[in-house]
Amino acid sequence: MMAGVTVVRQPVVSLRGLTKEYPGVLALDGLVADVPAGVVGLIGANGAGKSTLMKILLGLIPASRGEATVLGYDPKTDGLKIREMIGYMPEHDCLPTDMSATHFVMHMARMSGLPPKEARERTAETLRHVGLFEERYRHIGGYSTGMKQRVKLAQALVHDPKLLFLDEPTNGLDPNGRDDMLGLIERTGSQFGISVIMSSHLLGEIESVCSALVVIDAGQLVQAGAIDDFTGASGVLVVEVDRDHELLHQRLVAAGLTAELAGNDVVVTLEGTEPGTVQRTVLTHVADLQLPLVRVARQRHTLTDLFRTR
Amino acid sequence: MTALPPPSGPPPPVLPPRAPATAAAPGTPLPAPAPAGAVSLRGVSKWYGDVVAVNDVSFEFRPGVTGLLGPNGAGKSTLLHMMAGMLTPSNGDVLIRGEAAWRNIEMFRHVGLVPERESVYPFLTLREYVVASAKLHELPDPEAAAAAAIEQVEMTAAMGRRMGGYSKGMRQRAKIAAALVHQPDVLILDEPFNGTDPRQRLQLTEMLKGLGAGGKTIVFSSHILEDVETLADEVCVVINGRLAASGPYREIRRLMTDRPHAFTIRSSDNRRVAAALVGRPDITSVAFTGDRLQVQTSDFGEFTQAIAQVLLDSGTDLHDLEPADDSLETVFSYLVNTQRTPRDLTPGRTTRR
Amino acid sequence: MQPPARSGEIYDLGYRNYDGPRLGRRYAIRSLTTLSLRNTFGLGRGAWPKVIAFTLVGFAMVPALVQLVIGALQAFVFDAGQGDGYQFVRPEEYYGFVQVILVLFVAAMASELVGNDRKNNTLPLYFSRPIHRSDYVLAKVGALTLGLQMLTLVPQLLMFLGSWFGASDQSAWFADNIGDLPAIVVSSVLFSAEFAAIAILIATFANRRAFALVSILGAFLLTLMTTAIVADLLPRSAARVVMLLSPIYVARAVTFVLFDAMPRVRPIEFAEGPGEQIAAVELPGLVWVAALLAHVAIAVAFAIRRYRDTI
Repeated sequence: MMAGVTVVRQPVVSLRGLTKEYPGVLALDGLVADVPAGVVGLIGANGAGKSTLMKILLGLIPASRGEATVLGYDPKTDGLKIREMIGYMPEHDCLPTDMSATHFVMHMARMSGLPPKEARERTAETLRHVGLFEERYRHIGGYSTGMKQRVKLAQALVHDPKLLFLDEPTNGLDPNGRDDMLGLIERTGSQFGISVIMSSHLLGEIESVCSALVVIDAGQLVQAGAIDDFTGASGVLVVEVDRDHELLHQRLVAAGLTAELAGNDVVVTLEGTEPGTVQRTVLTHVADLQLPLVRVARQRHTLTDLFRTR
Repeated sequence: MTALPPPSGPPPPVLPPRAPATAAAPGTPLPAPAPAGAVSLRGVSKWYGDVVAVNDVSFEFRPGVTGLLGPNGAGKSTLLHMMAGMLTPSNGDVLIRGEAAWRNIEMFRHVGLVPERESVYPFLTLREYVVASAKLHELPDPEAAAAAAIEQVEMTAAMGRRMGGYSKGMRQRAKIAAALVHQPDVLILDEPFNGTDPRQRLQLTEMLKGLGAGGKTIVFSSHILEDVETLADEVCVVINGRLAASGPYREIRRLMTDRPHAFTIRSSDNRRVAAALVGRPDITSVAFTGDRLQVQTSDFGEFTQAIAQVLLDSGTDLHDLEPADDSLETVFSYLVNTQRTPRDLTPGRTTRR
Repeated sequence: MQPPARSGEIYDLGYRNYDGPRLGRRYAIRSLTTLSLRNTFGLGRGAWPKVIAFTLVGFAMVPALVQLVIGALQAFVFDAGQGDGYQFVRPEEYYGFVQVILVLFVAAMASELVGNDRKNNTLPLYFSRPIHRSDYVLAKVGALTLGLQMLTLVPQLLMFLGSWFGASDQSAWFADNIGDLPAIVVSSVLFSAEFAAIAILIATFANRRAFALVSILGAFLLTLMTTAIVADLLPRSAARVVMLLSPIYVARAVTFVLFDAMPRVRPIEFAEGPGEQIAAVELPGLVWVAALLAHVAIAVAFAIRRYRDTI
């Protein structure tokens, strides 16, 4: 339930020929992209220019050439305004060990301009939203990795930013912690009404949480677009039975379908067939052979395919 | 001397060649001797003072790729280092090709270890580094062996450059080349995917798969499920130093019989299908979410045996039928959560510290 | 008549947006200064910083305490007029006494202020907020300068009170000595600023606390000693340059200028102590003041530059 939130239709970040040169290194090379609102994944090789890009967008270093807009503002001239509206969660450890979470997040809130009373209240609220309860009064030095990640997220959220930069937010978390963090990110994007740009190396994470995707390599834009564009269904049906899959394969081929064996699965081509007929044929033969049926599904592309073809 | 923690039951049964999976089942006999080419763990424990890092693990590693999966601090690294002969077990045996691993120089010929931390010398070129490794193994023709290993990891083009300028992915492959130069049967990698980007990940996965298919025994550890799911033929789940389950993860899932199995169905008329299913005794729940029908069954076998006919009889068109919780993630959370049950704290037993 | 029945409600505890005021950079600088000021005395840190800070403050307070005791004795024990006008330490000499304590203080605490954020990698969290890098440095230098007032301004004010209290004719004493107060305030601030700025600059280069400590001690005390030795031997123009480069010399000179209490001019070979050496080179007062301000400005500028590549 969000009161007074304007739905942002404009892209949250626009890049036009953004270039950054250092002596001997071309860190960013003419990036052109429109990053939409929502939860967007940022993928790039290590050293591909993601941090340089972020520094430029935060107005901390100037670009060599080209333009950028963040939430409608130009980082060259309105860096301060942009930083008021952005939250940043770095990848590495960045918390002081001898302060409590409450104390630290409150200090950060005040550094973002919240008056003392409001800072105190927002801190308490934000820590609740990220899931830190009694532990918030203890020194951060004693926190687990998962708790520290939550504090990092809290300090990025406490001043109600419009856009969050999350750098590898699930780094160092075990599977349960990862789930929790991804759920939090997903809620942030959908319920809190805050746009998120999340960088990660794990394609599965990006597939599950993000609606759009930007891929950068060696300072250049490689891909950008909606996740659905990359994870659509392919023209192939995967059938998995718990035994005798070779037998099923023979039967299906005999029935006139184009089918192949792939490990323990039978893979049937759907192209050139009437929708639904293949599935019916498969079910008929499976039932006839009395085989236990585990899966009948169209194979989906995954983000990994993006990297496979390069 | 510290009191030894009591072993918590006989070790799980040995696997016959690669077929079924085992969840840790008590009351089974000791394993039979292992064939050559395998790494065997027999009742292996490792403790440091009161801290038990590895607790009574038994397993036979076979050719192919096995993933060691577990939360941070579960003991994976300790296990791998014991398998590589770098650590001695406090209890039990680590056998490589039937012989004890610890302090057995001969054994090092058959094992290559790729440790987690950065350990390449930045001022050496790859060629120099791998040749040095070959010489340390006293290989008859170090240059040729090095060239072959570098070829295997597809780094021939870059081998003349100093390793200080390598990317993370290249450094990983450099370490692997050095570990492969003596053509070991067993390659052990500790968190090889840490910090790698998607492309590096893909390349590493393909390479390790190739090596595993070629007959080597590859064992790697990770706490990222995605990587294990795509690469490993089998997984060993390690929790708090104990082996919680082993085998192909789908098989482990089938063994989790005290949990219902979930399936997702999309058809032209989900309600008709639901109606057909709901009368069956093995169905525990039926739910509608969006265009999907979520079904839970208490009997995997019954359900899969019957579903094809049920779908045909319902007169609907099937779009998708998929097991909803067939992921390593489900298996893993189940194991982590159930292994924390209070039955370990029954009165009268020695509690862990 | 019954009051109307209350209806039940479920309150929405979901995330709320913030529409309230967002105060600007100055408020942020104030907040950071306040936090850093606390850290200067070890509050919010471990035990050791507190111990060191408060011990040094205690030492710095000794002259003040002595003066207060004397004042009390004069007021209640001695006969009227006895020991009148006695000052345990004259204002302009106070810095000669306290300068070493100040060096120890900034050497110990500068890296608390600046090193922790660097060590914990907290700087990206600061610099992604609506402040400039210069704001961060100014807040740190400002906080340390303010903190040093506990060793410079406060003891001197206490001494002033002590003397006033002990004077036989208090209003006369006050009229005579009120002129010292502005000088006390300004000299405290400038002296502290010089020490704070240079110490912070050095601390931004030294990542380990031990290195920072040693470097800061060296920067102040080594230059003090070498300048003292070398000034006697060099021709006057060279001696002037050397003295203008030494933080303690410049700071002391400024205090002489402010209290209008430059020691007697003597040929430098006979000068005893930095005070007389300073007088011996006969530089106009404004030059010393300008030098101090230049030191502070340059130190701050270089410190800001140090943070240029962070985030």
